[in-house]
Amino acid sequence: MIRLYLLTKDEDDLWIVYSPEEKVKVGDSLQIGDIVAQVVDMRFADLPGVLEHILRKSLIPKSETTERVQPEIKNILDSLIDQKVAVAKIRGRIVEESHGSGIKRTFKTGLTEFDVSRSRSPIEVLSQDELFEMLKITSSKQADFAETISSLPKGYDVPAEKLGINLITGMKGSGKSYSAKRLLLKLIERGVLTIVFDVNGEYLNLWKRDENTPNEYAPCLKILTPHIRAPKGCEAPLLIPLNEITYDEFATHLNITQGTPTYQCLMQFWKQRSGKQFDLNDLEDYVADRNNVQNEAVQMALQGRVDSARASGLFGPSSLTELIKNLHESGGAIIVNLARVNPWERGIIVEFILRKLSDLGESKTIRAVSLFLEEAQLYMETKSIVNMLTRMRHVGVFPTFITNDPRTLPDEVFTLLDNLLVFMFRNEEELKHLAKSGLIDMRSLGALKNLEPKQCLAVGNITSNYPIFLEVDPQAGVMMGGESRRLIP
Amino acid sequence: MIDIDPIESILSSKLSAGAPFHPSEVLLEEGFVSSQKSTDLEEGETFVEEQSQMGIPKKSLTPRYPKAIQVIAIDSTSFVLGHIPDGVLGAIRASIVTKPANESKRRLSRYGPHIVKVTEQEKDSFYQQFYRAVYGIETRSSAPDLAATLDQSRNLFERYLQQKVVREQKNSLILLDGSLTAAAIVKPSSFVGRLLEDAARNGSSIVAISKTTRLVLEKSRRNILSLVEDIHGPCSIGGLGKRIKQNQDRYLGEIYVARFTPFGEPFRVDLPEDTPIPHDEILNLVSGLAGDYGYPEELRLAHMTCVLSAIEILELQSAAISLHGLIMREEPRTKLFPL
Repeated sequence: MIRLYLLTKDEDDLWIVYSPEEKVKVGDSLQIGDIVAQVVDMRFADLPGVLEHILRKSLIPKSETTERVQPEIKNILDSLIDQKVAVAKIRGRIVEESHGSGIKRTFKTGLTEFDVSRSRSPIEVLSQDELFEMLKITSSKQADFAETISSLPKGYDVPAEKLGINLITGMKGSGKSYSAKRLLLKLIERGVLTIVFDVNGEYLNLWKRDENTPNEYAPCLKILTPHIRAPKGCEAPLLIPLNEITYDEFATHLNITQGTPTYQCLMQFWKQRSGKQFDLNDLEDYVADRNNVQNEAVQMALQGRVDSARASGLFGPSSLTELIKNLHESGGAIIVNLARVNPWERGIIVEFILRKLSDLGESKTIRAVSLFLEEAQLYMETKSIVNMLTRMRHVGVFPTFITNDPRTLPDEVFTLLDNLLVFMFRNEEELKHLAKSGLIDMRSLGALKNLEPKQCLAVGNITSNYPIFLEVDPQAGVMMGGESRRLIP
Repeated sequence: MIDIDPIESILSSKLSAGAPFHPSEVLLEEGFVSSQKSTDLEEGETFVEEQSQMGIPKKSLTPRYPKAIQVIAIDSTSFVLGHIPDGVLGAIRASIVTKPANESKRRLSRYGPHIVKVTEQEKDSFYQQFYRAVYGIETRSSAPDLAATLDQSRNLFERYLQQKVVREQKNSLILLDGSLTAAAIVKPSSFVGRLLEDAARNGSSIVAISKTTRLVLEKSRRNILSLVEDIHGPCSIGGLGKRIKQNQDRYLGEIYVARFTPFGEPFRVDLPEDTPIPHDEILNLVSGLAGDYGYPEELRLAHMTCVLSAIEILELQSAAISLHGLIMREEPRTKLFPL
């Protein structure tokens, strides 16, 4: 028999007293009368006299104390000072409605009545099955992305169809990258194409079972790495056709100052060939022609840049469009390896790929793709992020930001956020930033301070806006990586 | 640990399930609930001859910490947990605090709590059985009222432990809470006498310390504790035992009034006649143990570790309900979370 007692209501928190034998966990949803409240914090029931009681016990250390207590009462002694209080956030209420010949229980947010009795209202932990059913969260028995944190846990899979603008965040080592990778693999299974901007090279081994064997995901995983000459395994060179970047990007990349004759010459070349395909050979021919470039110094400067660009191995004919089209059909992932790329190149690469996605989306060549942006602030400016948020979703690009510091993202991310997967944070400032999303309150976010690695709070469309505490399941058969190297193994 | 099996079986007896239980009021704000040891109080005022008060020897004490001597202090407590039909349920607990010779850290052996059932129907047989187990002799006395019987059970429990300690420990300073007065019923003279003999045989000195006494100066009708009122510093006044006017044979040993610290409280101290250590030296050693308010620290610890906190009483009430299958007559939450 569950022994839970309603102590009081403090704003939209209910304080529930329970004995130490009760298994109550952060994340449990309690039904108190018809109210549904979720446990977000647990503490001792601070009774008067506890301090005196404990101080007296400390008079002689335990190690110097022997006791002979009546055996039958031994278990009850010291149970009162261990009484707990669960702080449960009111999430809404259960409404019973006629449904055909029976009664259907549905969950409604808001609370305009408080018809609860401390002595008579039963309190029980809601089963996750019933909660999910009321919330209309569909989760099959095979669901294995995560398990709900609850005294009655249940498997959970992220419903891919409910992903929109998403944020996966948590402090270093909290398990956010691991979970992002698990989500990526789940999306592949669901036939979704995801493009990952991988700044730390964390996704590069996802196609391997171990160092020598590819896994089941290998056929649908492609890694695009700049500056490599030939494909190897799942890895292929990332090449950008010259005609698919702007003269300004090219100039910035090759350190040509804006407004100089060299810059203007470059601009003329680009304008002349607007709408056509061209490459470094075309630029080289253009520069070599005295009719185009009369100034010898400018000619030499541009030739030098052409040589540098060729040596970088970044520019050349690209099969990216075909790759996207193919994987869009079958589902898969394109990992854009930005690990060994300088910041300017990162910017060019990301802009090039985003333009490509936008074009393909606008032309309806692709229906929708998912985009994983690891630490987006490292390769996108704020205005680019905002532009992407407001424009790209209309062309079927669904971004998932992954960061260990949500403060690096513009406010627009939080105001437009559809889903939040947040892992452990200890810093109050970061938690306050997350509260801007409006998806979750500060009190519930406070529970994140005590989460273990790979445990998170999920809220948004994917949870019918009901916060669900999850523990991400381990992934078998995939080299997930992500572990930092140790100074001494 | 001392073997308490013989008395534990007497203490534990079951009630029939379903009996109503009215728990005693406990205020958690109080922290600890004091219980009166009525059995340790002397029956009435006893006069002490005062005619030559000026001649009563007064001595200054020189505090000396008994580093090389084992010190043992014993105390006990009881509390009425609540009422059942025709009876009470109570709890008793005793503590023995030991400072071993040549050590400064203390050890605690704690016995209880034990939940004790005392009913009108069974109290006489319970008391007589307990008495026989502790003193080894029969008594035909009836038990007093229910609460007093519980307190006498506590007293018998403490006497049992005192006996065991005195018999088993050697060369110790044994501090008892109370006096060495023999009372016909609750503390037979044979018991006190035997206790003193056992202690002497083992080279131990018993020191009985009372915070209160009914010994009164015959002329002024002032309590004997007033004798040290005007004396500065740690001091003692002895020779009071021989001046007691009534029932002198009940008072075994010598009676002192002592103040163990300069601004401490006065206490009555009973010492057996023949102690391995001279009385003056014993008083100096006890003075060396005195802490706040001049009370020996070991005895203070024995008291503080046996007395039941308000929280423990609530737990014991809950245990009693569970143990005996009782039905409580009051909503417990009003106690747990008083407003």
